[in-house]
Amino acid sequence: MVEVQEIPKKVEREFEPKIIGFLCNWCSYAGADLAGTSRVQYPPNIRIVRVMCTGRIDPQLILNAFRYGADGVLIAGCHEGDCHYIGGNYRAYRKYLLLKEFLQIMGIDEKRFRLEWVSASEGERFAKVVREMVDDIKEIGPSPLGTITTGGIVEDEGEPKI
Amino acid sequence: MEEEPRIGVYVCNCGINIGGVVNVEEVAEYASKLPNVAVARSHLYMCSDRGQGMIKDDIDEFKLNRVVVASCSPRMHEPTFRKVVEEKGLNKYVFEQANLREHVSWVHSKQPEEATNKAKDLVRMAVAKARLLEPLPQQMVDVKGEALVIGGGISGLSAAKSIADRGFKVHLIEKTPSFGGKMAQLYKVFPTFDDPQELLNPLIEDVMNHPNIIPYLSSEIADIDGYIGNYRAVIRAQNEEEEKEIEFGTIVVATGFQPYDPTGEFNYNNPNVITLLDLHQLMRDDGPTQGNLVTPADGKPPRSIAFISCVGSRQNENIVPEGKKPNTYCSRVCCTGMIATSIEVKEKSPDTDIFLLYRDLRTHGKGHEELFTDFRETGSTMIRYTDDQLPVVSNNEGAEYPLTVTSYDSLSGLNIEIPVDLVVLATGMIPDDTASQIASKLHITMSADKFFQELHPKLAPLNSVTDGVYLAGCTQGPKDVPDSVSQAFGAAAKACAPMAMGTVEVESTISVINEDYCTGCGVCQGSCEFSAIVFEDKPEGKRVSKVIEALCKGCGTCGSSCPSGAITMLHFKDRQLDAMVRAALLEG
Repeated sequence: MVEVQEIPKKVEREFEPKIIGFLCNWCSYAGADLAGTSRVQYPPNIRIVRVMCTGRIDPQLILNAFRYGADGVLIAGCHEGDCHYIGGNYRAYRKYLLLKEFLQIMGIDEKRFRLEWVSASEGERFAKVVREMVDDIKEIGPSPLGTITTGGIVEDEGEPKI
Repeated sequence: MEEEPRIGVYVCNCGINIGGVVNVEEVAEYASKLPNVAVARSHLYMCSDRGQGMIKDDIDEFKLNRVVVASCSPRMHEPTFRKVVEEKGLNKYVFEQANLREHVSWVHSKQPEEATNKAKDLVRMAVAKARLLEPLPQQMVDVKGEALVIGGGISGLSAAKSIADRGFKVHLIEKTPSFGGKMAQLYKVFPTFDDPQELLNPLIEDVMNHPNIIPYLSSEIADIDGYIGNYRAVIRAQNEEEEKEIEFGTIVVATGFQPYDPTGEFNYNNPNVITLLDLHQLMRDDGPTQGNLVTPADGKPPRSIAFISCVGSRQNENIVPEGKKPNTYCSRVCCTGMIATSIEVKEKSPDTDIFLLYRDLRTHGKGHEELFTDFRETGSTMIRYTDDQLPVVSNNEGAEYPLTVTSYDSLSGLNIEIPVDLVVLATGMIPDDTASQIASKLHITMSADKFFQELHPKLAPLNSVTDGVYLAGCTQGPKDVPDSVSQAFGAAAKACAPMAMGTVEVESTISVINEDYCTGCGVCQGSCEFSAIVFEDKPEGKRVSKVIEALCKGCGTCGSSCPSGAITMLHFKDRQLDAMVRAALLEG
């Protein structure tokens, strides 16, 4: 008798979203550090870029991140009233609201672009935000832009010189 | 002419902290193949003398002009490695750090493969930024020769006097109407059995009459901000509308502790169940009973007292009342406090029987073990309970003794019932409730237990994470009086150092405006919280914005607001950040 061997199914690798996190130095970066110090575990999908203040985050940086194939972008800064620079976080929030609408018009799901206030003492909360974002993006799949822009088409344009 | 970047990459094992999860060798090998990387190595501890020496030797040998260290958080060791490159004559802003510990190995400790891949990405991102880093001129700021001490307990008083004795003016603020803090509420302080008033009063007198100390009682901080050398606060006197604005260079935070609230545990709502601090107040001559040791409910001398240890300390998920988060730490003073107080009770009322219910007993301080020996000589009964069978305190209405404590004794293996007149809970310490406000205002971090976190537990135990803010006493974690005073003296010395120097180096990372691009629209001025941008009329008739360097705090908010792209935030340039994002997503 011939034994029919089952052909092993091709193991599909689960989609792992690539998330860029812009974190302010004083609250959220320290909060992410605290997650580490407290050994809180979260998925390894986020790549953190430290800025001094969320107010510094130029919308162009976010657009570029999506252009380079990010599946999600997180901005995290100090809670209302806690900004090290008084009101940089409010300015970040204004830009965020406008950019979020713009991204939706471009066909980027709002779950891919998130702004959260995470203080230096909220390590657990930082981990929770990352976990949620990874879960949300896994559900909606890779960025629609990812497939068309990856491949190194974007060169460093350098600084404009006069 | 721009120099071609020659980057050295150093990957740290941090003992096993990183190396135990991330394949450090693989990351270093990977880094060596990245563009412009001249050399990549790993070391057990990059921050050690040998690790630092490795970087210095390589700077000479490989003519490095950029250095990347992949180790812990830059919030931890960026100053260390900046110093290393400076010692070799490089500008400190050509250093970049990748965070492989707090952001990788400690948070992905069960995923070594993913952690190693993420580590490679972070190193690649750091190298991408390092290629574009530029040396910046060093900026200095003046330090105002005045300090603020927050909290007038034993730590705050000691710190204030210590700073004032060095010739600096001190603003000492206390929220209650009197100095002395929790120590002033105690009956006697162990292990010497001194009356705390006798210790405190001369110190308080010195502080009140010190020419360099300005005391503020019944006062609170309405507002506080600034940076090292140049802090500013608004102090508000309670019950008065009066507000006073003060300026100072450094801060010592000594907000202390408050006792754990045992409501809902050990029948605490029964008036004859009290805390150790309550018992101290009861025994004091100026207490509610003029020092007569009587039970609160019936005013009779207690025939027997049961002490219960570890209330609100060393909790776990099983022994915490619903809705509360367990305090997992040891409060360090309750064991000796409980034993010392028992000895005091025996002295005041030799006929009172004492039952000591403990989980573990730690009399760790100098002279504390001797106290334990003395306690044993009082002939009191010790019962060792376990964390899975907490003692139960029940009402005993109509019976001879109003309370019964039932406990399992793990040493005899028996369940024991003890009829008592009074139960004393040795409650632990929790941070004062003003601490969280101060933490958010001064941007100091708190550890998981909500006490203030020191910059480094071993190497910088008195520094907070914010420059110019130092920690003293129980604000940083439970401590007894000698430890609090030692820490206060240390924090005072720390606070004096920048004031004695008169100037400190600050970040050179400020905004600069390209006048050729600036259209003079003024949007940046509206975005600047520090009024650091003004108009300047150029000779050719053009009006442009200009950054006042001393006022710029380097947040970069103006840069992201400029419609013409004329503003560059140094060290966090668009181009540098974009390179990191690109490295994370497109390369690798």
